[in-house]
This record gives sequence, C-alpha cells and structure tokens, in this order.
Amino acid sequence: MNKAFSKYLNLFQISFKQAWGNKANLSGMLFFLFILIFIYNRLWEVIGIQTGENNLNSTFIWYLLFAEAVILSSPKIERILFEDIRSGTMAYYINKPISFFLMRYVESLGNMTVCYLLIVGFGTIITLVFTGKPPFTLWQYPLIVLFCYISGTLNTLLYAGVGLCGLWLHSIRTLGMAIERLAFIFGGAIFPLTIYPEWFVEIAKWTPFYSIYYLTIKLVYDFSWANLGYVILLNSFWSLLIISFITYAYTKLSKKVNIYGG
Amino acid sequence: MEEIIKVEQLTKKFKIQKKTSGFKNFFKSEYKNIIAVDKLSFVIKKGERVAFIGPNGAGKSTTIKMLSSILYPTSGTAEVMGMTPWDNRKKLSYNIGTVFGQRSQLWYNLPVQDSFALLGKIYDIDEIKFKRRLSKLVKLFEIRDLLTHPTCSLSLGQRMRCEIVASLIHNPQVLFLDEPTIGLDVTAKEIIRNLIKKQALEEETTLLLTSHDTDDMEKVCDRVIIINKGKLIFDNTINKLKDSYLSKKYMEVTSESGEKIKTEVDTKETPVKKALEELMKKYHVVDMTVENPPMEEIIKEIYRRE
Repeated sequence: MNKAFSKYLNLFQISFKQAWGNKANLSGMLFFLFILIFIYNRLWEVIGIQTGENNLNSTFIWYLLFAEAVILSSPKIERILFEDIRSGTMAYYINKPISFFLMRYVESLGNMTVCYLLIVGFGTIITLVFTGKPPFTLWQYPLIVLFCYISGTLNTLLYAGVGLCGLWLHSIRTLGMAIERLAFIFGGAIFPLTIYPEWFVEIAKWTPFYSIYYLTIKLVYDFSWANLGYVILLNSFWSLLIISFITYAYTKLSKKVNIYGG
Repeated sequence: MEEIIKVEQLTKKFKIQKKTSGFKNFFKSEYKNIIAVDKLSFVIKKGERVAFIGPNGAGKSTTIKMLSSILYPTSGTAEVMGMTPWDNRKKLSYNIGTVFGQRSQLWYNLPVQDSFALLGKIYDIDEIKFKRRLSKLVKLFEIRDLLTHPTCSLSLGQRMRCEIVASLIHNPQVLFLDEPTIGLDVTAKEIIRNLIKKQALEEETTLLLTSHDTDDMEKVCDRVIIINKGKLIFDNTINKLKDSYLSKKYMEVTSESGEKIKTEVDTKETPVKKALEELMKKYHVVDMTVENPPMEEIIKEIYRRE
C-alpha cells in the first residue's frame, strides 16, 4: 500500500474507533433524530391529509433523513482547525512528514463516517416504520447512501475552509454561523427547495449549498442517471473551488505560522 | 567532526498588535516589532550535547522553532544537516526529533502504544524496524507499563518519558528539546536528565536542549550557549561555565528549632562538604538545600566581567 495513503488510512481508522467508542454522544444523536423524524412525520401527515397527497410524508421524511445525515454527522472541523491555528497547536505538527490539514480532515472524516452510517442505518429503520414504502427503489438506495456520504465529505471540506479563515479573522463564529444558516436556507436542509418561490431557487443555484445539499439529497425522491450526472458535475466544480481556496489558505498559513515564546 | 547545525546572523522579529482604545483607532491597528532573536551565530558538531539557556523571553524557544522548521526567520541563515529547515520541512522532519515540554505530540485519548504506532506510520517506518526500535526505546526509557494507558491518564513525568520516546521513534540524528523538565519534580527531572543523556551517548544523537534550569545543562550537556534578549553572550564548555560562573552555591539549612539559615559558598575556596560540616557543627540541621545561582545572576556576572 502507498505509504502516504497508509498513514492517512491509519488516522481515519483511529478516529473512527474513537468516535464509535463515544456511546453517549451517539445515543444522544440518534435520540434527537428519532424525535425529529417523529415530529416532522406527524407534520407532513397532517399536510398530506389536508392537501390530499397521500405520499407527501414519505417523500419529505426520507428527504429529511438524508439531509440530517449530511448535516448532523458534520464534526465541527471549523472549530477544531480554528483552535489549532489560534492556540499554535498547528505549528507543532508542521514539522512532521504529514499534512496537518489533511490529518485533521481525515480525522474528521473518521468521526463523520461513524455518525453518518449510524444515522442512515437507524434512520432507515425508523423512517420505514413511520412512512412505509420509500420513494426510491432498492438498487437506488446504496447509490443515494454513497452520494449523500460524498456530500457529507464536501460539507466537511467546506467547513474546513471556514476554519482556515482563522488565518485572517480573530473569530470565525459569525462566519461559521452565516455559512450554517445559508446552508439551511439555500441547501434546503429542512424543506426541499421546491416549496420556495422560483426567484429564490434561482439565487440558490449560484451557491455551493444548492448542489452539495439540495441536488444530492433530492436524489432520494427524484433519482435519474441524468440527475446523478448533474450532481457529479456540479459537486466536482464546487469541490475544485473549495480545494483551491484551502490550498491557497493553507500554503499561506504554513508560512505565516507565528508562535511567540515558549 | 562534521558540522550538523550552522546558524549565521539568525534574526526573528515578531509583529505584535498594540492595544488601542477609542473610536478613532477602531479601523486602524498599530503594531510594534519585538526582536526575539538578534543576529545569532553558532555551530554545533555531530554528537555534541548543547544546552541552550537563558532567562524567560531570551529567544531560546524561538531559535529552536526556527531550527526545527516551525518558524521562518526574519533574516539570517541556518542549516541543519545541510538543509535550510524552513525550506525543507518534510525532508528534514525524517532526521530531527522535537520535544516541547509544554506541548504534547501524543494523541490525548489514545493509549500510548497507539500514538507510537501512528507516529511510526507518519514517519513511514517499516513494521519490523518499528517494532525493533520501539522495543529498544521502551526498555531504555522504562515505559513498558505505560504503553496501554491513554496519554491523558499519565503523570507529567511519565508523559515526558513517552514524549521523548515519541520523538526518537524514527531514529533522528538531531534532537531538539525545549524545556523537557518544565513542571517536573526533582526526582522526575533527574530521571529524565539521565535518560536523555544515556540515549544521546548510546546513539550519538546531537542534542540541543533549552532550559532555564542550570541543573539540566550540568547533568546532560557538554557545551553551553547562553543567550539573553536574543543575543549570544556565552558559548563554551560546561566546565568553563562552572569554573567561571557556577562556583558560587546557595545553601539553606533548617535547624531543629525551625530557623532557616541561608549562606553563600564559593566552592573554589570552600568545598560544599566543608561548608556543610561547619553549618552542622553550629546548628542541629534537619533539612538542607544546595542551589546554583539563578540564571539572571549568571548573566549579570557575564556582563559584569565583559
């Protein structure tokens, strides 16, 4: 196995194991998911009865499940990186034969993977119980799980970019909050964008949240090879942009790193 | 002997933002420059054990951070094993080890052996070589019982032993130790000093050790570089420093009645043993300490003689 790949794989495995060991955190997360799906299922059932659309809750609850899987599994990498930059921790890893940024990113992915798999696994069972038949076929399910997972990795990358802004900003709280809110609104994290006005969707299309969240998660109820191809194309474009920014910021950061005193 | 570290006119300035108040200053920031290292030059040969000492804020840690490729200097040059540290971070990292007393390179929640295994992967060490190396270091630093403990559960002294093993896992030729005994009690300090010296002698590792504890340099090193306010003020053997500046000892004895008696002894004229015997004749001694003069006093003395 390639040596560089092997060291990152090792980091991934360790953080996966550590996250898996954190039973209290995982149980809390799944309990929250259960409550969320229960409440929204009731809500969409009522709206379905009023509008006469029988499968409304099934469509939207499966959509919500995968949206939550992408969002809830996010390991808050922006805070970790920001702290590392501000406290000078990063400086002490910079003289090791490993990319500090990739190290933190891979660790976060290990953490994210555990949460994602649990949410999708547990969520699939309770959503099946609550709503019955899903809006996708059996063979589409693994593809949806895979592409939403990739969305999760892009989501983590996006927030890693926010964390690196610690190079220029004294606090990333406002920026992080702004990105989070924008992701909720333009990414259709709670409701699919179909319920918003047309002009709003047109604006959303110009943001990375549209494809990273909405288009990918929409595969749940609107799966087609054309849609899948569009998701791959748009997500590749946004990942390239995010990676370019991260490369620029990280290169600057590793030269500007300053720790005064012992 | 081969020159392993070469430093010429090395300077590091930090730009620090000044605290300002008032609405006028809201949009503009004022900065001041702090010179941490000021045109420092020295050479260290292979296998030398060099103490790099000075008071707080002297520039010791900053110099070590530049030599271990963490910081970029403002001006000047440095070479470690023929490489400019800040331009060859990755390549140099395979040949140097670093221990920062106030920071940990071990994963906080992981058992120590998992951190070592991870470091083995990070340094691309072959599995068989890694096992052989780890087994040697575990024996040398007597940490077999600590391997399965998570780092967060170790005492400072135990953690420091593990930190040093972590920094030696890839068999570096140069080891930078920044305050490795900081915060340790007397016994733990002694253990760490002995282990560092034993390892360096056994493997011919070049050591650069910073400390503001003069005992660290006496016990571990054979040469001493003293800096103050970023400038080099002394560069010679430990024996020379001892003869010239460490001959004075501070003794404090506690008598049975609880009275504390402090006295200064010039060991060139009166050996410690003799001074102690005299004190014991006068008082019923129940406790005693013998200390070197503090770093600030040594520096004052160096300046005075110049």
